[in-house]
Amino acid sequence: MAKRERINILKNKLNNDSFYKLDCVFDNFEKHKIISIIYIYVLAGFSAIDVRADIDSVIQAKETIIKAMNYAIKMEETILEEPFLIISCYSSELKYKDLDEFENFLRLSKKKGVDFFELHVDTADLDLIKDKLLLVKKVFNFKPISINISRDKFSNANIVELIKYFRANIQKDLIIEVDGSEEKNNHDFNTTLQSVSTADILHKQLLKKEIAFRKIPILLSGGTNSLTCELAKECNVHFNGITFNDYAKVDFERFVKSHSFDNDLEIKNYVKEIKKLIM
Amino acid sequence: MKTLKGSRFGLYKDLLKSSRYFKLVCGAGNEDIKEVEYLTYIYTLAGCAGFDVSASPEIVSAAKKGINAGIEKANQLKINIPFVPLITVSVGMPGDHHVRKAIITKDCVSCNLCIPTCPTDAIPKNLTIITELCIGCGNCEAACPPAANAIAYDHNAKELLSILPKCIEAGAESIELHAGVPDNESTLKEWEVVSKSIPNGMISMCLDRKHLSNDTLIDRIKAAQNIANERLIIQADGIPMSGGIDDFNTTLQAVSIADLINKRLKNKEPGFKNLPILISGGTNSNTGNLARKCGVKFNGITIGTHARKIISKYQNNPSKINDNQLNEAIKKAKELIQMNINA
Repeated sequence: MAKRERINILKNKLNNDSFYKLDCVFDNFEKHKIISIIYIYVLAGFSAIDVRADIDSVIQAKETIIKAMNYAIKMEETILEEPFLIISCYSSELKYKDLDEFENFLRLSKKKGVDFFELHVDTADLDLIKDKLLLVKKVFNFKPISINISRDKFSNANIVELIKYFRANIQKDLIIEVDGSEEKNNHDFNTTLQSVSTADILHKQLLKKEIAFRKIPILLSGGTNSLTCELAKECNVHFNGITFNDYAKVDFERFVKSHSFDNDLEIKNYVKEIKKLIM
Repeated sequence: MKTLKGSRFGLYKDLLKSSRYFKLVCGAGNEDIKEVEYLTYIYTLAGCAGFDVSASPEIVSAAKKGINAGIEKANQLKINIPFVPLITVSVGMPGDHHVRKAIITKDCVSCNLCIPTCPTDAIPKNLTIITELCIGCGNCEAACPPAANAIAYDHNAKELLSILPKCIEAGAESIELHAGVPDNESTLKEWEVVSKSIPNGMISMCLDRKHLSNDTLIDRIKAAQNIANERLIIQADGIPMSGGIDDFNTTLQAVSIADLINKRLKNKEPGFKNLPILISGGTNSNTGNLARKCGVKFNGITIGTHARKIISKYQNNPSKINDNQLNEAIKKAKELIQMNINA
């Protein structure tokens, strides 16, 4: 697939509010379970898979994506586009990375199939990692950089300032992933409230206020579940996609307790359930 | 007329504990005596539990006058008012929206775009803001063309040490500090003054997330409790003075900040389990409903802009309002209270 075509797919998905991402940076979770979750979410038609920024995770995710796509062909299911593969990293981690080593890592990741980069902003001093972020932009051919940001460490005004800084100094083409940063994922409206309200504050204090920021895509994350879309719609909060993390993990654990992963029909039924998240 | 436990402090505590506290915000910067009198009159008749007014002895007296007129009228109309509503006065840190007054500078291009956006009609055609009516909401600033940028602000400075005792003497029973500013040290100094001004009364700190992250918000609440102990109320402010539209979107931030305080503090640390939370800042008739839908617990709801707006068309001197207007206004105010508190 031509590079240009791939970026157009990404833009279309974001513009059509249909960018759904699985974030499988899970703490304390067995490797084989991560592989199974990626497999299911690829089959369900998710747009992107987000993995930890290490080569093993990248290779494992890419292999699973291909395996799932082949399985889809066998099962006569259609996956129109190969999901995007994303690596993510905290700004505090990036500070300590050696520039050359980081460049080598980025180039190898790209070679192994990574499409773009996501920065989890947990420190305010982005100036200190500017050189590394400019490197990310160069290596990934100026594709958008995704920024994950929560209100834990930043006020509403700080968030707006950080995004403005990023756009002015690093990369114009951005995706903002707002993080509700929930500790638990119960399947209710309460768990997804912070994520929806963080998106809302960005709309009110940036996107609706300044023309230059009007079209920045917003993804909801952190505490997202099957009720996120409903709550956002009821509260009239626009979003371009949703990232699922803990919900996917908890739901998968529920599935494997009573179902077999060796049974095609059971997998098919589970994929059908997950598909509902993206409708 | 009685209080639940005899004392006004006990009454306040009981109302909060049973999540029945509805407070009408007349406006921290609203110094329009007639309007305050009218608002307190109607909302007393509607069963409002408390009023929040500007820290001025004249305004406190106006609120008392409105409340007394309401109680007198209630006797005539055979409306049961179980207790005399509580009066809180609001003061604020420099920089907090609640205590600033807008000024139109000489850069004004006379486009008049600000006039219709003002919720209190404080901008006349001559474009000189009527200070007593300005509540500092910033709607005029949002409407002002960026190229002109002709809105500035004055801090409505009140010397707390001198003004608060006079307000208390006039009838204020509680004080609220609007503390949505980054400077922690000065905020806590002012908080000490507030606390000492009314040693036996409830004191409220109003906080929003414009300049505070979740972490700093929680730290400030902890510091506030160190000073106020069991007298502390936190008013969780979504977006200050943003309650113009009656929908879920407008009230989302208010419910969200209350949720955050519940999750990060009340549900986690035993010392804060009973901390009363009032929801404010973008509150409307949907606030209680959204909070309940999202499982967000609260001890009361504070409404300003929306509550004032729904009865503004009947606004008149309490002695001149006709019975039909009065009944309509009471009905609307009562519905708003019930939708939020008693639903």
